[in-house]
Amino acid sequence: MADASTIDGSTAFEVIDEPAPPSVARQLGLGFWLSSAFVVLVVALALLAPILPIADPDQTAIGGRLEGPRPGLWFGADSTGRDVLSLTIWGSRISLLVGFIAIVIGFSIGGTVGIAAGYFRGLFDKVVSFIFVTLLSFPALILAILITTLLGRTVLWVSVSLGVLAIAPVGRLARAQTLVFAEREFVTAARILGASDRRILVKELLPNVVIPMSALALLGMGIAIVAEGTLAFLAISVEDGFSWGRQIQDAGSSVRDLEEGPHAALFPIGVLFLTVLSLNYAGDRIRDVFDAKELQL
Amino acid sequence: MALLEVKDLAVTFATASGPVYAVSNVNFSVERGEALGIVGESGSGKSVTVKSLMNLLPSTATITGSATYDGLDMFNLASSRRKHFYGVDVAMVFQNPMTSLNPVKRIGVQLTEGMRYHRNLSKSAAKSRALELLDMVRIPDSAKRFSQYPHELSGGMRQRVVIAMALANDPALLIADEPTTALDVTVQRDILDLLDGLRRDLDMALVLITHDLGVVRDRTDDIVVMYGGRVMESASTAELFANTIHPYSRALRRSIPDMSMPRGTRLDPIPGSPPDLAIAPAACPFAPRCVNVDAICKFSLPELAPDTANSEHLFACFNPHGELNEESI
Repeated sequence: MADASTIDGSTAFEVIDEPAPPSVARQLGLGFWLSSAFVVLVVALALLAPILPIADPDQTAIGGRLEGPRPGLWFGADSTGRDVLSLTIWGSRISLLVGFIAIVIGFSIGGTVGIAAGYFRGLFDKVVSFIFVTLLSFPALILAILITTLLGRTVLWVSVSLGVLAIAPVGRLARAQTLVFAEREFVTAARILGASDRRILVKELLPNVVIPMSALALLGMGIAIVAEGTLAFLAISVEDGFSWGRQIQDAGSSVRDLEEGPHAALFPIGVLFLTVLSLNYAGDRIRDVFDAKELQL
Repeated sequence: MALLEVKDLAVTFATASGPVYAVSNVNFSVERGEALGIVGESGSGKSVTVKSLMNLLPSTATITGSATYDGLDMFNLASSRRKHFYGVDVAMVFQNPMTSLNPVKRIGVQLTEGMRYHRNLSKSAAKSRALELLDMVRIPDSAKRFSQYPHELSGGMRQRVVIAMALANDPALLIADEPTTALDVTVQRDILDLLDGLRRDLDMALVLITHDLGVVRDRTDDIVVMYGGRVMESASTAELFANTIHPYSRALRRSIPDMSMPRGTRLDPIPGSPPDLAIAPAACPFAPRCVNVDAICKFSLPELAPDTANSEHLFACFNPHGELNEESI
């Protein structure tokens, strides 16, 4: 790999030009792009639901009771004859929104506090770490029930209850990642050059922490969507809205309905499953590729 | 007046189990454009010395003594002066090029940040200066390297980039803390020669920290040998190698492999391990490992004093030639 060249007629030294590594897009692989495409499709359908040529999700008797899938009624109808495809698309809006807000809350609070704790250390770090441990040991379901019953079963408060649960795991990862980089000499070099703590945190550390964190964001969103489904199944999620969880609960709560027309529950379950799988897989791929990058350093 | 003058420098760390006397009684000076080697093994206090000069010690450290740069008290810089002091007048090259570059920032960004901050250069002026620096540290194809990320460069290349970053604002003093320890043996020499050449070309003073006497032999004007946080011996490089007085310096010299040694010659290791710095120095720190150790070495601390033959040659030893031992037998 080393080929000696002579510069100034005296010193021979290594000129290493490693073969260019495959592009990041290539390394992420087909699976990542398929997953991403699926997530993009689901998000696009959710956003475009009001203008899509689909049936009103509240309108009953579009199909027969638990009518199976057929052209024009691709996902079939549920027990009141509503269009399951339309329900699934409209249901994705609240599921995705709750997942997204929860992750934003978890990341903005957990991420910021975690990075600060990892960088400043000392008493602040000890206090923060203790709070994280406390949050982690608090029973998740109880916390969610507490928040939604006390503050209301709205999109906001359901998201907040899930977001609060995300703070500790996100914060701990942010702290750990920051610890890895804060001791590196490039941070010292920046400090010598006169960079303030704020600048070091934002310009030097944050970009290094963000990549593993983005992988967690995708995983976390999947977890939040499933968690919302669980809350909906327990009838403690968003009250006046229709999410995948609510749809699955509606369709799956009666054993007779399930036996007669399982598609009404299976379609939203399938879409939920594929969405969460795609989010997890994409997150995993990002982490793998960028971790490998890190090892090369 | 010397460019850098360190007098009676001592650094103590407050730890949970009491104070640690990391560095004491360190004295040395560096003239403009000259090179000083600070040699010692791990725990000898060489890195702490440098960190105290670079204002990088944690708040648990207490510094006493003085360090002046061009007559300026480095430990009490006015904040207006400090703003453009480190990274401008005094710059530093770190030990590990794998960690001294930010992995997610392009080489060019990292190179230009410092000069844009300290000199208010425009983006394009900073870029042309950066390319010039990359050429100066002999990185071929500088324009391409400018837009690459650190992981696309080899270790030696990265250390060249780190050196280029340090040179960005024309420092009068460059401190290199074991700049080659983390590198491949074949690359070490290139980097050392590069530093040596740059020092001459840019008329810059260089403080080269190393654990390897061989590294500083041909590349420095003066040498300070440290052990246990104290200066053991200091002299001009030529004098030190011609007339090594301190038993520790001699032991260090004997532990360097020499190509002219007959095949199969065993190297002379220094038995034992460095002293525990948590104990206030009351005896010669090297006494437990010294071949010339005498009763006095264990109860009293030798002061750094000039040799009778050469007042510029300082050493801290009661018994440099083993005479006391012979007398006491």
